[in-house]
Amino acid sequence: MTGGETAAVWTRRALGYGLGLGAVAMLFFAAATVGRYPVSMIDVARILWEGMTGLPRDLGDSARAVVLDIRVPRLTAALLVGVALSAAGATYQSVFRNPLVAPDILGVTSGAGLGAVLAIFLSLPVAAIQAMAFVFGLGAVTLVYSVARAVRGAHDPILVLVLAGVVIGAVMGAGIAVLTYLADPYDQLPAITFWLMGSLAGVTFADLATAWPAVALGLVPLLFLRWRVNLMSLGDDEARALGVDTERLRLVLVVCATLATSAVVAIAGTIGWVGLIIPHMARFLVGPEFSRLLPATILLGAIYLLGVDTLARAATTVEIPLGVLNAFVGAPLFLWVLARARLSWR
Amino acid sequence: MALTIETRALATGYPGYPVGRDMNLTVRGGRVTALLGPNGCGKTTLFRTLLGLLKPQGGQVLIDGDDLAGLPRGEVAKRVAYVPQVVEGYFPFSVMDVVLMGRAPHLGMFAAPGAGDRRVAGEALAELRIADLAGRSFTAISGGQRQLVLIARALAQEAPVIFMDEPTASLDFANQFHVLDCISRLSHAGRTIVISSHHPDHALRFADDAVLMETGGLFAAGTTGEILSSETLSRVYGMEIVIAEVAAGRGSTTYRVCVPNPVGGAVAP
Repeated sequence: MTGGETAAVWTRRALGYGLGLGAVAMLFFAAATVGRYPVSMIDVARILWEGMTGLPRDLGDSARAVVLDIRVPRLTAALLVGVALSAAGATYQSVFRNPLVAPDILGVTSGAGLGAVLAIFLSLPVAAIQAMAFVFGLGAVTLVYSVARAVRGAHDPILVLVLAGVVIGAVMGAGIAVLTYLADPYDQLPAITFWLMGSLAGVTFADLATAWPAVALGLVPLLFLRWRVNLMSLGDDEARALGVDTERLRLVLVVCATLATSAVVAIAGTIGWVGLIIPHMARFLVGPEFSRLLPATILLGAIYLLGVDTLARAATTVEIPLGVLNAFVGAPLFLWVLARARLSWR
Repeated sequence: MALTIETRALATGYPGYPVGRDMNLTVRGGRVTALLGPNGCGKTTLFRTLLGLLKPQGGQVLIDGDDLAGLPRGEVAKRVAYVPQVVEGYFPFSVMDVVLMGRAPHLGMFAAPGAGDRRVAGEALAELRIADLAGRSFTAISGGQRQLVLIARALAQEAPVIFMDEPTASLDFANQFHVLDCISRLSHAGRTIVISSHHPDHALRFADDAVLMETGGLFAAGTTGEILSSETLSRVYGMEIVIAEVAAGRGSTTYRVCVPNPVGGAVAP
C-alpha cells in the first residue's frame, strides 16, 4: 500500500463521484424539459437561473409555472425518494446480513403505508401522516426482526427473516384493506388508492419541506457511521469481538433507515423494488464495502427514480402510475440480480 | 507484553441452563494453549465467556487482573481478539477490507481506517505471508487462505491475546499444518494464543499448554507434556487412546501422536 496507490484510488473515487453527480444533474435538467408542455433546454436553464437568483422574468408565466411549480418539486421528490429508499435498503441488507432484505420485504413499506393510510383515513395533516408512517414502519420492522429471532433455531436465518417480512407485510396489507373498505368512497378512497399505487404526481414544495428534514435526519448518521456498518455485516459475535456495541448500533441504524423510508412513503406512497435492486447494482459496481457502497447507492438510487418517474410521466399520453411502472422495470431487474446472485454474494 | 487470563470459580452457560462450573484456569502469556474436550462439553461456551460474548453465570474472568465484566467492549477488543471458524455468508469484501475491520477498536465511532491502519493491516498480511491476497475477494479464496485472513484481522487488532475457534476445522491436511505453523510463529513473536481443537495430535505438536475439559467443567490443565497422556485422553474422550512415540525427520526427532482404539486395548508402547 504505497502512497501513490492510495492517491490513484482517491482520484478514481473522486472521478466516480463526479461522474455520478454530473449524471444526476444532467438527468434532472433533461427531465425538466420533458413533458406534456414542452419547454426548451434554453428556457429551462433561464427559468432555473431566474428562479435561483430571483432576477426579473422575461418568459411566459405558464412555462415558469410548469417548470418551477410542477416539475421541479416532482423531480426533487424523485431524487429524495430514490436516495432514501436505496440507502435504507443498503443499510438493512448489511445490518441484517441479508442481501434479500429491503424496506418493502422487511414490512417497513407496508407498515409505513398502514400508518399513512390510517392518518389519511383520520384526515390528519401531512406532518401527522409522516409521524404515523414512521411509528408503524418502525413497529413493522421490529416485529419482523423479533419473529425472525424467536425462530433462531431455524437452519436458514435469511429465509426466516424474508418469510417473517412477508407475513407481517401481509398483516399490514390486510389492515390497509380494512381501511380502504371503510374509507369515504368520494373523498378519502381516491386519495388512498392513488397514494397506494405510489406516485410523485401530487408532491408539492410543502410536502418536500416536511419530508427532507426527516430524510436528512435518517441519512446523515448513516453517512457518518458508514464504515462501522461493515462490522455489523460480520454477525454479532464477530462485531462484538471487534469492540462494537451491536445492540445499540443496530438500533441506531434501523431507526435511521426506517425514518428515511417512512418520510418518503408518507409523501410518495408505496414504491417497491428500489431499496432491493439499487444496492445490488451498486455492490456490483463498487463492491460491498459500505463506505464506498453507500455513496454509490445514493447516486444510483437518485438516477434510477429520476429516470423511471420521467418515463412514468412522459412515455405515454396518459401518466402511468410510478409504482406500476417501477414494478414492471424493477421485477426483471431483480430477476437479473437473482440470476447473478451466486457471483455477487458468494 | 504478554497478557494473562485467569478465571476464578467461573460458571458458564445460559440463565437456567448451566454448562460448566467451578472452573479455575490460568492462561499463561506468550504461549499457545489448546482447549480440548469431547463434543458438548462446553468448549464453545467457555470460549465465548472468556471473550466476554457471554455473561458468566458465576465467578470472574480476569484479563491482566481486570474483571472482564467491568471493561467496556472497545477495551476488551484491544486486549483479546477472536478468530472465528471460517463460515459462509460474508459479503464479498476484499481481503484488505476484512483485515482493516480489525482496526475497529482503535478507531472512533465515526472514523474510517486511514493510511496508518492500512500499514498495520498490510504488515499483518505480510507476517502471515499472504500479502499477495490483499486485493482478492474474501469469498473467492480457498478455505485455508480465508482462515489466515481472519488470523491477519486479529493481528491487525493488535490485541496481545488471540482466541481461535477450531482454526483447522474444514481445512485439508496440508492446510491444517500450515495454519498451525503460522500460529506457532505468532506465539514465538510474543502473542498469547488460545485455540480450541478436536485434534489432540495438534495440541501435542503445537501447543505449550493444554486444557482438558469434560462435561460440566475442567478435567485438567497444565503443560501439554504433563496433561496429555494416554490415561487422561482415554478418560475424557471415553475410549481407548494410546499416545505413541514416533521418531521421524533429521536427527530422528521424537513426536508424540495419538492412536485411537488400538487392537487389543491399551498396551503401553
